Amino acid sequence: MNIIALIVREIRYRRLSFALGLVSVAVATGTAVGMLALLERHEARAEALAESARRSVEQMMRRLEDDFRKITLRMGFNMAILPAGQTLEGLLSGERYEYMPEEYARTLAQRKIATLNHLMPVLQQRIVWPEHNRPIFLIGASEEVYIQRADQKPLQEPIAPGTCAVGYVLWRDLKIRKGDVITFSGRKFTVAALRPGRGGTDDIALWIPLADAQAILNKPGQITAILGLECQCSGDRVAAVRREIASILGEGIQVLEFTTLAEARAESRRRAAQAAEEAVRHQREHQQRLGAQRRALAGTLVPVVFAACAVWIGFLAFANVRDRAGETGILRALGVTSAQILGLFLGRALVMGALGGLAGCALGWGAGCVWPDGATGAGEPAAAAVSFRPLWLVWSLLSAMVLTVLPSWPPAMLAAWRDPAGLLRED
Amino acid sequence: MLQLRDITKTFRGPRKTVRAVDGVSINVGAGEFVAIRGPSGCGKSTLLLTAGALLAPDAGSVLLDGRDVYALSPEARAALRARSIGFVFQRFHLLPYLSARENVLAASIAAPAPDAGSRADELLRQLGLEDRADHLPAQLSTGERQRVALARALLNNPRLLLADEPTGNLDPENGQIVLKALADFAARSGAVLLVTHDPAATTLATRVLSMSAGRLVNGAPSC
Repeated sequence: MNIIALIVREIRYRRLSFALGLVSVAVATGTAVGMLALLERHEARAEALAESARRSVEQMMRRLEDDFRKITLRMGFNMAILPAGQTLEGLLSGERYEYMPEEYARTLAQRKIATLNHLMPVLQQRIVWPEHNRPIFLIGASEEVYIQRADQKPLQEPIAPGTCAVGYVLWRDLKIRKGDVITFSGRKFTVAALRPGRGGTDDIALWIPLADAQAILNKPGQITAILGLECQCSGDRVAAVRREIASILGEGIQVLEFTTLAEARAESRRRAAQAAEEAVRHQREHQQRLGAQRRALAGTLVPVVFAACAVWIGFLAFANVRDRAGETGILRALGVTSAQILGLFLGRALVMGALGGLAGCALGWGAGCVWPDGATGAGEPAAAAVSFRPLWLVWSLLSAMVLTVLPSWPPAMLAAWRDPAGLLRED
Repeated sequence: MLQLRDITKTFRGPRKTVRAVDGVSINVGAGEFVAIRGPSGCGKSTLLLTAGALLAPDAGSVLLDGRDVYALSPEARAALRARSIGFVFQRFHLLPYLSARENVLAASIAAPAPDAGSRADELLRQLGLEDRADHLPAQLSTGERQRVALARALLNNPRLLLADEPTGNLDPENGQIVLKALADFAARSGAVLLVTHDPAATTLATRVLSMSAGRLVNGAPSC
């Protein structure tokens, strides 16, 4: 027979009193571990939500950029590479023309520039249509020069040799129809296309093959512009295009973007990106607020539960000491020392703490895993499972043992140091 | 063996101080069975607890084999109780969660011995409890409980046995069994100090003293 056997037998005998203490310890440590598990689960969920939102934004931006790319394609060429000294106004008004070699387009294509996808060398000039005596915008256009692959689809129907395309105002006023044969400066062209009205110089334009235009205007091998399509559509790339073109053709060459469309495109893209980032930021802030609230709740709830549990354990320990006064007295009479009596009561508290801590850890972890973690919206990631942390068990056991031993200490001391004769008489 | 020298013990009550034992001196030698008779409240139990190294007197000394027990440290006094003194109380003071055998063995907590188990079995057999060894106190009769308490008191082969109204709750038959056991212990060179208010309990004593109002008196005691 020894003190440990006494502890075990007594616990079995007074199992209700022991269970009451054990449950309270399990509730206290379970609350603490449960809060830890919930906080961890919240962190994991917040991380998953942020990741999900980030992926959604990425997908949305990809879709947006794809949409812009398609829209851009439908809008036609959106950049113009002009010779040094040439202004766009001068080119369109016919006040001043500068020229550059047609070969530039092929040079750019051979260097596989990354910032432009389509190139079309043009020679354009305001001129009077001699056969009809009216000013038009003559555009000699070659077939597109493809940069990336030979099988790229043309952005614009090519002007085949012997054919032409007629701008809206011209074909409307001159009653030109597709298939008609028109004469320009003595050369005959079959009308292959009637261009829709665009409200610009294109409406009074006549597109003919580049070689014919060079011959008519007496500018062999010369062009006034290379039209390009920049359709990467991710951010403001004009500067990048300029750098790349300048590195190949020299600093004097100008790169212009048709700004209204480009700016509208960039602005709407920027706003969409801002809105998406704002949504992600709100989501993150909401989760941070929620996390802070839960930490605050845990910071209040756990100490309160521990304090209540400590009071309850102390009460149970006092009751246990009082009920066992005669037992303590006879043990002292049998020669059991005060230290052994102390061990008898504190050992019981330790066993209660160990079992309560174990149960509390399991309860807390289980509750943390199954506790509803707020409403999960459609498409939101489900709450993540919480993996068990061995540190929680260690913490739970230690805190539970402190929780049972500390409140049990005063009554245990009372039992250990009270006059044994008084205890025997009291019983 | 046991010498009580001019023992005085007072208790402070709410209104006045009560002198429970007043200058009592007794010697109990080996082989002696001394009974102190007296009515309830006359200080018998206080004297017994003082003799058993459980309650320090206000004045006087308690010597066991010539050693002043209250001059010892609490640990040494506890060891002395474990090895040399056995107690039997009117209310048995059995541990309710231990079986009869385990209650007997409770005396070995403070004085472990390799043969404690076999000795406990032997004592239970001698006291007619071999069939009740595994029963809890609540499953035993009062006579059986007192015999278990007696076996516990005898487990460590004490030199002094102190009995406080050991037959107070027993029927005459069980009372006689207990008293006979005490007398046998004294006959084996042990010393027994018994306090009781029951004259019948003193029949086997080798010496009977009377106590009244905290003092030893001649003739019939009264409080």
